[in-house]
Amino acid sequence: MSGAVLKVAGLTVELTHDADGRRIVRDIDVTVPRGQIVCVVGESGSGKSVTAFSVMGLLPQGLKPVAGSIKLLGEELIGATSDRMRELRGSRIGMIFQEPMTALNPVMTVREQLAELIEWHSEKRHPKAEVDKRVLAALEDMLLPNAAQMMHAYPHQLSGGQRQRVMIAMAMLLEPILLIADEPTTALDVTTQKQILVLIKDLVKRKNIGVLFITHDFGVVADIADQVVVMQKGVVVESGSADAVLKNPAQPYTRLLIESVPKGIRKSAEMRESSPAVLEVKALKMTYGHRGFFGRGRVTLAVKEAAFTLGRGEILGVVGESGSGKSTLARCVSRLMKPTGGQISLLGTDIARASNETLRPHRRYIQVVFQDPYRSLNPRLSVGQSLIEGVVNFGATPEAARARVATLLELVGMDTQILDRFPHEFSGGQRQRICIARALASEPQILIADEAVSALDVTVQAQVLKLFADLRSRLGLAMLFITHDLRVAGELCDRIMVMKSGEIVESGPTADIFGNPQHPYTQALFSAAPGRERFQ
Amino acid sequence: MTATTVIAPASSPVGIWTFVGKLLRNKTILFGLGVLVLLALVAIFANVLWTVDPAALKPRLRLRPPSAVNWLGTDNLGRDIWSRLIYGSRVSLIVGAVVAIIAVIAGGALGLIAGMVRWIDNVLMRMMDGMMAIPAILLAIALIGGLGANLVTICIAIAIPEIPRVARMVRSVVLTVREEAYVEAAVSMGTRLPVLVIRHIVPNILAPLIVQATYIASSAILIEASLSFLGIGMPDEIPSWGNMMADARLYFQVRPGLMLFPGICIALTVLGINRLGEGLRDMLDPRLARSVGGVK
Repeated sequence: MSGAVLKVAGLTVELTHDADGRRIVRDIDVTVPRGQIVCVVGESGSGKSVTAFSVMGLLPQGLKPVAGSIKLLGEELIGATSDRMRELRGSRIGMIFQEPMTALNPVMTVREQLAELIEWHSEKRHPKAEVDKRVLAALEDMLLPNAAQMMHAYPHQLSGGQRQRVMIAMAMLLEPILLIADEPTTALDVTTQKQILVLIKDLVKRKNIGVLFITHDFGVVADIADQVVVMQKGVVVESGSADAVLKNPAQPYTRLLIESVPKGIRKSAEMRESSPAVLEVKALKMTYGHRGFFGRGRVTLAVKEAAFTLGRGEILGVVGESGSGKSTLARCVSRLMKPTGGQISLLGTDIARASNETLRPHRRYIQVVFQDPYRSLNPRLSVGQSLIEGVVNFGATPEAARARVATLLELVGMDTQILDRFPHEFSGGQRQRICIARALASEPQILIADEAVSALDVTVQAQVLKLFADLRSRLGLAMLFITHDLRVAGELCDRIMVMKSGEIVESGPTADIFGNPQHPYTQALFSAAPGRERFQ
Repeated sequence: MTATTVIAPASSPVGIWTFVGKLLRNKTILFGLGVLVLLALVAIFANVLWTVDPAALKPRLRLRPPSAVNWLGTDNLGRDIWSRLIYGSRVSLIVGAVVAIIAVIAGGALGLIAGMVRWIDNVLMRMMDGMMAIPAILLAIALIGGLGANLVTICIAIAIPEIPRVARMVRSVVLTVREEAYVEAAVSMGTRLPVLVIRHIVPNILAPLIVQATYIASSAILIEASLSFLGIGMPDEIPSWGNMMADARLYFQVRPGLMLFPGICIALTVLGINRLGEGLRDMLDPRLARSVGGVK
């Protein structure tokens, strides 16, 4: 029956070499009962990973638990020797991480990696046939089709979902009683994520284990959690059963988090009348690689015959999973890449084949906001230098550019005093605002947002989405909004295009796509969206 | 305004002085810098610090032990060791600095071009491969044999084999930096290629280049010493640590100091430069430092 597998009480972790005695996490209480999934939710910096690492005994150097207890089936883990912890990890505690590719050894086959684990954790040597049998059984347990073949595959030959299943197979191989999953589906596509979540839920039921599931996504929480622990800045702000926390959040922070989850479609999704087109794309084609001299070499079609128009003030969402060609499409349209064929008519000029020199004056009308705010600002330039660059390139004096940039910073909700600061002083959300201001500086007609909110915490994401909507209505900006997340697209976009392996499989007004998806792939995307049942 | 105003974090001063402060608090860097500054002072003020004319031959005073006049003794031709050591520091430091500068500028430029212009890349890199196939010492012997042994030829002869190494490293860093989102953002803002390179690419490849430069300098000093030791380095009338050791070879058993003192000087200089390079590497790229340490 459901005794507690893991009991964390009053856990406090401190930075050891910190004169201020800064606490990373304070007074954490988490209990994981047998046969239940406990989700620890929080934004970046909330201490959820530190909590998980404390349980595993894998805290990075400089972090030390100073108070509280961590009990695994009654055994105290704080102060346990590192030998004992190593024994427990694997045999009693299984772990899965965010990025399955880096967690697997690239030069060993799946079988070798699992067999190694069996050998490490047992005294006597096992005959090869027996090891093979156990490995195969473990893989089949993960509902992997043709597990026998997969045993001899190397990690790079597997898809992301398969790799994560192999990781789970490794974690479950020695039949642990506690599984710690640190954002295990964050790096996966939605449809794959759905499968992994179903698998974990199924494992809990079959093996009667406890799961400590770390995530930032309330959608995922809604799908799998039995218990929820909400963390903010190193403390637990709320905990309880999933039903209670999700339906009646007691704390304002929990409420804010739940409200920030993109719900899919705006309540007031008014139909927009069509406006004059600022961008017209016809038969756009992009291939990577080329036939070698003797016809060898592989050619990959990244975008096939894409066609769409974008009206003034319209937000067009491009939704697809990784490898669907949506980013290539964005890079072609913004001419960071020369398309192999087709037309891109920007305000009446075809820029698809234009040379860099003829292209330059047109560049100001189309600007890009990138995914990773940490890499989109030159670390060696001050914010002001980065911001005025575009304005100066298009013929303004530096003084005029600075004045213009100051008003833009106000527009995106940043202090205008920051021009002399450097990017490393700002948080991810603040940097993304700076990037948006930079993109707006040259007075573009079209803004391309390439996964511009994917790397941000939900509350920040909600703010940036609001900012985009606000900019559209104030400036009449047209936007091409690239995302892997249908829910985000639904919140913001007037029309949505769904891409799959380089093709636009479906497009139409957001309300139509959400109300009545036609293409089976779109339907699959919808049914895979986490938290669908609870939030809609 | 719907979006909330974000309050900027408290300013942290970023300036040359905070950087210098950080430099001086690092013990490794401090040691390296200390050795180099000391040597530079010695080299600059050599004509004040010398006690006896380093070129004066005094056959009567051959192979003397240290004395009040000849602080470190004399060599087989009666020349003062102390004064020759002082003057020798000039050659070593000039060779180290000049070779590092030539290699970094030429190799950096070639690497930058190879990294930025795709069609040149292949041609240039195959040429670099070709250059790397020539043994450095052989090339130096050939060049010095053809052009005569003087400081300029020696610097060029040592610098040439270093150029392809620097070019390769710079090219690989450029290839990574040019894919960064901020470079693409600059392109989409219509930044011209030269500005793009100077503002966005070069500042972001400087750190590994500076570190590489220190290693080139120390290896150049060692190569100059070995060339002199082989008798193809600096001509005998100009004292260098290398040719001092070469001269001392025959008298090692009588006067070990003849070989020991220049050897210690070379070792100390190279150690200083290497420590400086290591310290800079750790500071400019903390990630690398930790992985080298072995423990996370």
